[in-house]
Amino acid sequence: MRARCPHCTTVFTTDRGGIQFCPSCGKQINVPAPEAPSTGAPPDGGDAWGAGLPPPPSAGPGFSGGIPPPSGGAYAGGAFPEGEPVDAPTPWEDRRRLGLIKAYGLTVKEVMLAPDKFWSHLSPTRNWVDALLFAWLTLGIGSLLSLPLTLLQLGMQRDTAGLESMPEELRAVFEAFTQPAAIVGWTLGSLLLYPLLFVIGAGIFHLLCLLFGAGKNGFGATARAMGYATAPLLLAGVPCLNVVASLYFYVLTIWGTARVQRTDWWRPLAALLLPLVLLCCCGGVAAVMAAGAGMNAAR
Amino acid sequence: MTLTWPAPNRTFGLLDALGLTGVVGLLVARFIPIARLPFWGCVFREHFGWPCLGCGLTRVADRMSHLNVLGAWSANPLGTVVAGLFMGAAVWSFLHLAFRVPVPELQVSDREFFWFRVTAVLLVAVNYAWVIIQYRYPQWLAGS
Repeated sequence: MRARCPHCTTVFTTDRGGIQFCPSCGKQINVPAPEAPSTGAPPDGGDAWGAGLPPPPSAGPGFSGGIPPPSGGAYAGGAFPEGEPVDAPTPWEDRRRLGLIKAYGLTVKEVMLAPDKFWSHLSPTRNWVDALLFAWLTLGIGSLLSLPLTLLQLGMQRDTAGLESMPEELRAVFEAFTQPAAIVGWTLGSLLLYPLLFVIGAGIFHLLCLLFGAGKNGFGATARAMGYATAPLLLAGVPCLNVVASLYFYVLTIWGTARVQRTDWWRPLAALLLPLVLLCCCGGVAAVMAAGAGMNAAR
Repeated sequence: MTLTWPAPNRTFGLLDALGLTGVVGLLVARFIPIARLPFWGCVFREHFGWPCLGCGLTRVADRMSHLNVLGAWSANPLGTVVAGLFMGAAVWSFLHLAFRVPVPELQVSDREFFWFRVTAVLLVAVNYAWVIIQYRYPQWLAGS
């Protein structure tokens, strides 16, 4: 019989069902055993669909047509309702049909208000660049909305920071970085470099996920979860709520990664916390000491 | 343990992301004098007199970006190995994206993965012990 790999979409011939490796990309796939001989012309998809394989659902390209994703166990466990296409695009990925604004709004709404449903239906195999574009747009809107607040806050900090008590070098750095032009430049520069930072962040996070056994579905799945999890950062410009939004972003990243990698929630949580614990210990100690020093100075 | 070689492709994956990380990190270390920033330094070491787990990594990045491998090794051996792996990832990523050289995929069993993690933790512990000895008791190394 013939089967199609859900990862590289290569059609190949195999004489058995079950778990095996794709001869083209080498990834592990689960080919369902044939149930009945083919009786008619193959459905949409041409000769790619052989005897025994159910017809493809109305999903985008790359769907394996009855071949569950690599982590077949979790999939079979009921993460997706039966008959629901697991490779269905998100509203954002369907933006050509829905329209850019509607697709973006629907995606933000689903991620923030119905994350369980959204993550359950998020395909681990679709292109992660769409998630990057979503995150880039979200960060762009969020940064522009938060720019006035940032300028106001830093202006206040400049007035109350006690610059005269700072060491000369530190004062020069502080003054340079809190100029309005520097803040605007910093914001625009961060936005321009965001795709680069996103890829680096996703790469390191996925490496740590692998260390904790949460990377079965590959780098693309982690990057997709990270990208769509940025939806709350749209609220970065709302005072007070921006703190909650940042925390919600981390919660969604852990939740989404766990779902899209078909694993336990604590694994991506551990992957997220490990670098913070190991490398930011100095920062934590510094904060405690600074707080202590501040309390002593206030006495 | 199974090592599979996919067909030639240019699919962007984890190795490419890590290669990009290596390139950006080494370029920053090569051209930006991070260690001279006024707020840079290990607060943990300054206040307690003991190095932290990450002590020496800035020097590793700086020296590796200048191809001073021995100097990097003396600052943090495991950091040097990791920096070397990042450089390797950058080279392989270039070959992968430019010439469709496939990235091999390693599949390990649960047992092998367990021992991999145990080894990683032991390596970090041994490396930390080495960094502590070098900072606190350099005479031990000088005598050997």
